[in-house]
Amino acid sequence: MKKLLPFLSIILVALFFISCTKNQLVSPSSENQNLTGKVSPNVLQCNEGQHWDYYLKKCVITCSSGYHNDSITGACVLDGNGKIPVNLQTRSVTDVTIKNTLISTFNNLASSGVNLVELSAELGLGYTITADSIDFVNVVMTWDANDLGGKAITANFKSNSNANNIGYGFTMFTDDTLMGKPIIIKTSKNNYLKYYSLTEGLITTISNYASSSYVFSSIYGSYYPGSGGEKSIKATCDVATIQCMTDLYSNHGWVSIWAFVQTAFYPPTAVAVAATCAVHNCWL
Amino acid sequence: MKSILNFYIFISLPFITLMLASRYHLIGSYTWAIFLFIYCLIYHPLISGLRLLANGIIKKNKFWYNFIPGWNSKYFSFLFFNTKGK
Repeated sequence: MKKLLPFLSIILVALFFISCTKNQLVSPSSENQNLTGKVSPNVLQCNEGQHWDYYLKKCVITCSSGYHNDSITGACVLDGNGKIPVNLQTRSVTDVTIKNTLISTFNNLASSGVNLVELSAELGLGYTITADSIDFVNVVMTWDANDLGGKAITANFKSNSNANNIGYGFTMFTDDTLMGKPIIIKTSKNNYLKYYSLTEGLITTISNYASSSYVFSSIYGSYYPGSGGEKSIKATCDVATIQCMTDLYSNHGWVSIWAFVQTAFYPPTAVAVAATCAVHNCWL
Repeated sequence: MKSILNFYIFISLPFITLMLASRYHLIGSYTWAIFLFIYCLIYHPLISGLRLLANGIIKKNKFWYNFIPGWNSKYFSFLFFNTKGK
């Protein structure tokens, strides 16, 4: 028993560490709870579509049929296999500051070295993009209700129409505090999403987004902190691999705990994890 | 490094520090990955080798074998449980 003590200690430390860090996770929506309710003692009044989880001690999304709240993160997970399907939500943006940020960002593109003529050609547009090409009045915000990690602010191109299945949007991602670098998303209804960097052209294509079982894992790692606190989209193989590893060690409950403990005991685990992530993000 | 307790402390603390630094965004993903590989491929084998050496399990000329991933797994029982059986 005495010999097992160190082994048990490291497991306990790992469990303690993971449970502590999970408690620090704060979703953007849970930061703005209404605490002025008249219930005594004070309880959090959750936003619409959410409910209080007594075990997690926070507001969690009320899942639709066939899903349940994950016992660690509170996110909606599919009954059975644990995958989190995309639950896209959209609303109009009325915040003038956000709209102005989009406009000023677009107006500064030329001085940032963006060649709009080349970009327009690569996008397959029959014209060169100008500020007048984009509808900065009807801006929309899109986010995955099952993964409150970030939101996309999109100004659609005026040339988009319901008759045309191809659409374009000038998009910036935000985590509610910082706005990321802009990209352009080309959508083909129920077919594909193409992400274009303004300076490097096509970054990545997602072809199965319309599937009910689609999960965002294929672009995990493509959203990463850049210099100066900015965030940008770039689905390069190396970055995606590293983010995949970070994700595995941090965001998967018991699997993360197991990876953590096993790596401490058996270091080649990290190499195996890296290889798996590299294969997943670079070849598959 | 003879004591198993010291071994656990030396093995665990840098790794826990690394994970906490990553969790609280004190280091970026690249830095995290670089330190993880340094830990796994250099630091962990080094500490394991020092423990095996200090306890006379391996000879000095075999010390570098520890840097071959998986080589010292045959001493796993001794390294982590202080037992000499495989």
